[in-house]
Amino acid sequence: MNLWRLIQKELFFRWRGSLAALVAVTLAAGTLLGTLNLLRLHETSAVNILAEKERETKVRGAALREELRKATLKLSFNLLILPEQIDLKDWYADQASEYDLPESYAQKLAESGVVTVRHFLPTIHRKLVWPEQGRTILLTGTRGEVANLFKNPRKPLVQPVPEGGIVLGHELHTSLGISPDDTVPLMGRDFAVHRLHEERGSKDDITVWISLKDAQELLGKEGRVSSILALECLCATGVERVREEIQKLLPGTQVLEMGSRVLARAETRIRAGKETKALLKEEAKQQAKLQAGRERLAAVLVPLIMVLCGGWIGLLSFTSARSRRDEIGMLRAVGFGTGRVLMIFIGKAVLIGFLGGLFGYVLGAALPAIFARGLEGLTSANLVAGWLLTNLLQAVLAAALLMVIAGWIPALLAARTDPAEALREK
Amino acid sequence: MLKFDNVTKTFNGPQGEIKALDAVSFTVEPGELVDIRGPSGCGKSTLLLTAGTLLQPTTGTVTIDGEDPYALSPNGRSALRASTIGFVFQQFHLVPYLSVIDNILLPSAVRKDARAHDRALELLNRFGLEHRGHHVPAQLSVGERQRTALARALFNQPKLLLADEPTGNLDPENGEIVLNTLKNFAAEGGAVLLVTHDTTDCATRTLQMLNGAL
Ligand SMILES: Nc1ncnc2c1ncn2[C@@H]1O[C@H](COP(=O)(O)OP(=O)(O)OP(=O)(O)O)[C@@H](O)[C@H]1O
Ligand SMILES: [Mg+2]
Repeated sequence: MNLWRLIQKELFFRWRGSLAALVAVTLAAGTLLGTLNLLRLHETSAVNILAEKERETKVRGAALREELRKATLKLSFNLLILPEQIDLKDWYADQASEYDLPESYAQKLAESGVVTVRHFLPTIHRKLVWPEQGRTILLTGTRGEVANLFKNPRKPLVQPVPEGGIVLGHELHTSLGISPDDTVPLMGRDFAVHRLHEERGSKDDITVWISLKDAQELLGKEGRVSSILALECLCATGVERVREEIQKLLPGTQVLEMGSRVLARAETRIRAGKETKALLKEEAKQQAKLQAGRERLAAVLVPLIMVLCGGWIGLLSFTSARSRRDEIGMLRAVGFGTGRVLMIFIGKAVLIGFLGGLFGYVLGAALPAIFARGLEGLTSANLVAGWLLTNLLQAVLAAALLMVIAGWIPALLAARTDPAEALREK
Repeated sequence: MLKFDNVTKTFNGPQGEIKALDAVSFTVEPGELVDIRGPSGCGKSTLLLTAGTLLQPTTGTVTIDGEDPYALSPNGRSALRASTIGFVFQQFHLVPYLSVIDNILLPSAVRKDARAHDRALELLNRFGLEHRGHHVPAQLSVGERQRTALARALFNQPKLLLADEPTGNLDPENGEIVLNTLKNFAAEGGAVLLVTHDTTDCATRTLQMLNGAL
């Protein structure tokens, strides 16, 4: 005969009470573990969903960037460099202004390597009254191109006007009756007609073109230009960046990009990608909030159930200790000390605790997996993650601890039972 | 073996003090079977529990085997009970979830004994319980229950047997078995303190008790 046998026999003899305690402790351990597992599954689900979305976004973003890179490589853009004082409203209206910038800027930009430019068109514009004719004209001094240092010299993009030559817009030469072989006086100098334009239906019809050098001399603006048009620029970075860099390189300028719809579209899509990222962030925040809510609920529910189950176990232990007074009296008479009696009760509590922990572990691992089956973003590996040896150990220890705590006072009462009193009772 | 010297036990009940034992002095020597007789409520059970080291007297000293048990620690008293004293009660006080043999073996949970099982079987046979070894008390007749209790009391080979109206619930035949057992125990050198309220002729000495006094 030993205590273990005693505990075992009693456990099965009073199986109703033992079962009730087992149910209580199983419930407690199962709830504890199950809640933790369910929370973990929800979190895993959220993390997995977000990770998947993030991955998708990343892939999409990478594709976009790649597309943009290709587009940037393939497609050139045009930049118009103007003195920074120019009000763009006026510029768009007249394409002429009294402000200017150094002609050398074209060279400087070409040498900088910030951007590869195929053609430079430095131009000087002035709206003025043609003194010899008394007519308002747009005087444009132009030059072919500055050959990009990194490129082979190209065929001029626009037909250059030779020095001493003049090109006249359609309205001008028709109304003034100028013919191809005439010599035309302009601001006290004679220019040989180089070409007479057909009608274009634009400002060009009242425009006078002469060579840049001649225009600079006439206007007293040697080495100065009104604008530089950089045509067919190529760069690896975005247009935005290039504009900034050029503005830094060429002080006192503003840089306009002239029409490039493909790039605009690509940039829009990149912006959309950024918005998706923001949405993702928002979703992560939302998920975290939901999870925090679940955790708050668990933080109330789990202790509540623990306390209820603990109370139930305490009550059962107390009832058991009371109903065993007679037996305890006899055990004491036979020579059992108080420690031995205490051990009988605590031993039973621990035994039921171990069993309850085991059942609770099974419950706590199986039920969340069943509940969470419909949850998005969970792999089957995630679902079985609750079946863990450490979880089993935790459940068993927690259950045994709960049993011992809840049964401690009743066990002490049992051990302290006065045997003389107990043996006198009928 | 057992010596009461001017032992008094008072209880503080709701109606004031009750003197359950009033200056009781007597001895029980080995080989003696002392029968204490008296009306209900005169203090017989109190006397027995005090002798059994389970109830501390208010004044006076109890000596068992030359030792004052109430001077010992609680664990010392438990050990003394386990080694020296056997109890038999009117109500048997069997452990309901243990079989007859396990009930008999109960003292071996405290005092390890390699021959425990053999001794239990021996006692089972001696009390005619060989077919009842694996039955629980609820399945036994009243007489069988008291025989089981008797076997348990004798299991540790005590020097002092304390019996509180052991025949009170029994038919004459089983009562005879119990009393003969006590007589034999005394004849073999044990000390027996028996408490009854009906007459028996097996005692070596009979003491009359009234209102807590002998
Ligand atoms: N724990 C106690 N508290 C208060 N009074 C007690 C206690 N134990 C015994 N008594 C009182 O002490 C007296 C003696 O009781 P005891 O049980 O010893 O009588 P008894 O002689 O064994 O009677 P019976 O023959 O009916 O068993 C009784 O009056 C009883 O009420
Ligand atoms: Mg009595």
